[in-house]
Amino acid sequence: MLRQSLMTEPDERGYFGRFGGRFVPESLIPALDELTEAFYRLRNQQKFQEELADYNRHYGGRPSPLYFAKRLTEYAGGARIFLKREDLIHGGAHKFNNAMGQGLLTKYLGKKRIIAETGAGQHGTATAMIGALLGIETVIYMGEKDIERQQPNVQRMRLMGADVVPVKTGSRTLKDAVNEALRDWVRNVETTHYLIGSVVGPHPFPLMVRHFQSVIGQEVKHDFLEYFGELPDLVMACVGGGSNAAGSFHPFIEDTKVKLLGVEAGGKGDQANSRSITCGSQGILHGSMSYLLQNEEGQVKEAHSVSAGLDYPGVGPELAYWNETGRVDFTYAADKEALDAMRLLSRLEGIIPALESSHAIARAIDVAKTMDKDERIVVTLSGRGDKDLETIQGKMT
Amino acid sequence: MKASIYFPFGFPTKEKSLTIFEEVATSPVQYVEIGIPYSDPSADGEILQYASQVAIENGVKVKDVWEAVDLVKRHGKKAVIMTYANIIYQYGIDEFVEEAKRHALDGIIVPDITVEEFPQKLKLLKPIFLVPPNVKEERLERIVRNSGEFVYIQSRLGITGQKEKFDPRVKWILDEIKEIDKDKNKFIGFGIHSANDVKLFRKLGANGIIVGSALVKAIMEGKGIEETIDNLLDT
Repeated sequence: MLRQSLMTEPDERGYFGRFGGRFVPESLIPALDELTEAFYRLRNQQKFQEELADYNRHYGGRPSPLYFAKRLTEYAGGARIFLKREDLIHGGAHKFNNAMGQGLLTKYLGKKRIIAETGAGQHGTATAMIGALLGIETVIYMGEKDIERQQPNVQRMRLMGADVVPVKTGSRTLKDAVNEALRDWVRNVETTHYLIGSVVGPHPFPLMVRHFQSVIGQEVKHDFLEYFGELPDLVMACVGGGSNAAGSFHPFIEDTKVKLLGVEAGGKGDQANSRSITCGSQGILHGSMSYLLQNEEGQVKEAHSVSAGLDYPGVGPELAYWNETGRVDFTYAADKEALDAMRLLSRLEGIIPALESSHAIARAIDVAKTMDKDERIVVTLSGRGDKDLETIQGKMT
Repeated sequence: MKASIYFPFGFPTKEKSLTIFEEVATSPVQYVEIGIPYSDPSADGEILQYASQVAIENGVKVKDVWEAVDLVKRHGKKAVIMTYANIIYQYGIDEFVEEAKRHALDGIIVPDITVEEFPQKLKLLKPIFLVPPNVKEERLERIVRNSGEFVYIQSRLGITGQKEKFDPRVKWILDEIKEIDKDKNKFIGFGIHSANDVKLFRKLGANGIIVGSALVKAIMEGKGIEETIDNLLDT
C-alpha cells in the first residue's frame, strides 16, 4: 500500500499529495514558470550536469567522506554509526550543494543578481561563495537576531563581497529574512534570482533544492553498495526547513527496507521549539502548503531553537508528504541534548558538529542502542560547528 | 474616478479601526477594503507590515471582522476583504464563504492565491485578482474574466506603499483589458500618494484607484481621514 502512495516527483502544479503548490503573488508567476522550465530542461542536459559535477568535485570537494565513527559507536553500544561528512564540503556545510546548483542555473538564465535568506549564515555563506565564484552580485537577508549570534558567518559573507542586509521585522530570524527576500524578489524579479536555501517556497523550489541536495544520499548509497554490498538500515538527518534531510532521504525513498528518520529541534519544550511536523498543523507559509507552527487564527508563531539553522516555523512540503505517507519517521531533540551531543562528538571523534547536525547525533545515539551491532546507521553531519562557538559559550558545562 | 480604500482591521485597536471604517464609508468612495492582518505579509511594505503587527499584538480575531463588513454595508458602500491565504484556510474555507455570504461581502482579495490556485468554493466570493506589470498576455484574459467587481492593476512591480516610478506597461494593460471586456472596472493601486497620480491614471484609461498605505500613514501622522481622501481624489 505504501509503495503505491510513494511519489518521487510532485505533480505539474508542484504538489506532493496535498502539500506544496504555489501560494505567491501573480507577479512571481512569470519567474517561477521560467525557472521551472529551465530546471526541467537543464537537470537532464549533459553540459549543465558536467559543469555542475566539475564544480562539485574541484571547487566543492565532493564526494564527501563516509566516516565510520568507531568511538561514537562504542559509546552508544549498538548499531554501527557512520557520518556523512557534509561538514567537510567547501563553506563547511551541505548548503554548498544547492547554492552551486542554483547559482549555475542563474548563470544559464542570464540573471545578473542573486538574493538569498539565511538563518545560521551557512546558506548565506554558500551563496556568497557562489556569487563570488560566478561573478554575480549577491545580497543576503539575515535577521538581526541571527546576525548577533552568527557573527563569523556574517564576516565571511562580507569578505566574499556579499551585501548582508539586517532584517528588523517580526522575530528578526530566518522566517522574517525569507519575507524580506520575497519582497525584494517581487520588486526585482526580472533581473534577480531568489536562491532559496531550503526545500521550502513555491514550486519548483522544493523540488529543485532537493534535487541539488540529493547528491548527499546518492553518494551514501554508492559508498554503501561499494563497501558493504548492501544499503544502510537507517538514515538520519536533522530537519529545519529540511534540505539536508530531503537530500539524504530522497535517493532511498523507494528502498523501503531503509528506515528514514528526521530529527526536529525540540528547543526548550512544548512551548518553545521548531517542531513543525511533530507539533505543528497544516498551513501556508512562504509560498507553499505544508506543516507550520501557528495559532488558531492562522498567525505564524515564532519558532525557537538554540541552532539558528533550525529556528524556522515551517518545513518543506515533500517532508510533510513523507510524514503523512509514513515513509519517513520524525522525532526531535531538545536544545540541551544537542549541546551535549556536540560536546560528545567533539571529544570522542575530534569532529565539532554544527548545532543543527548535533540534533541528529543526539537521537542517533539513543536509536543505535536499540539496534543490533551488525546494523548500520548513517547520520548526515550537515555542517561543522565552528560558527557556533560563540553561541555555546556558557551553555556547556 | 472611483475609489477603493484599504485599511487593516484591528489597527491601531479594534474599536479605533471600526471608527475609521465608518468614516471611510461615509466619504466619497465606492469600496472599502477591510484587511485581515497576517503575521507574514510578504506582499506588503513597511507601513502595512507595521500595522499588521500592531493589530496582531492587540489580539485581532478573524471572526470579529464581520462587524466591520456590516458597518460598511450599512453606509451603502461595497465591502471587500483582503487577506492572505493562510488566514482563510485556518478559518475554514466553507465557514468563511458561509459567513461572507451572510454578511453580503462584495469581494475578496487574496494576494498569494493566483487564479489557478483559487479554490472553487472561494470563487463564490467574487475574487478580485491583481495584475502586475509583468503579466503575460495569455494569463491576462483569464485573470480579467475571473475578476469580480474590478481588476486590481499594480502600478509597478513590488510591494505596497513604495514611492517608485510607475511601470510604463500599465498603459498596455489598461488597453488590453478594455479589449477583453470593455465594461470591466480597472482600478490602479500600489504607491498612489497624490491627486497627480490619480489624474495620470485617469488619463491612461483607469476608472478607479486603490489607496492603502497612504491612508494608514496619514492616520499614523495624525491627519484627518476626510482630508486625506479628499486630497487624493481632488474633490
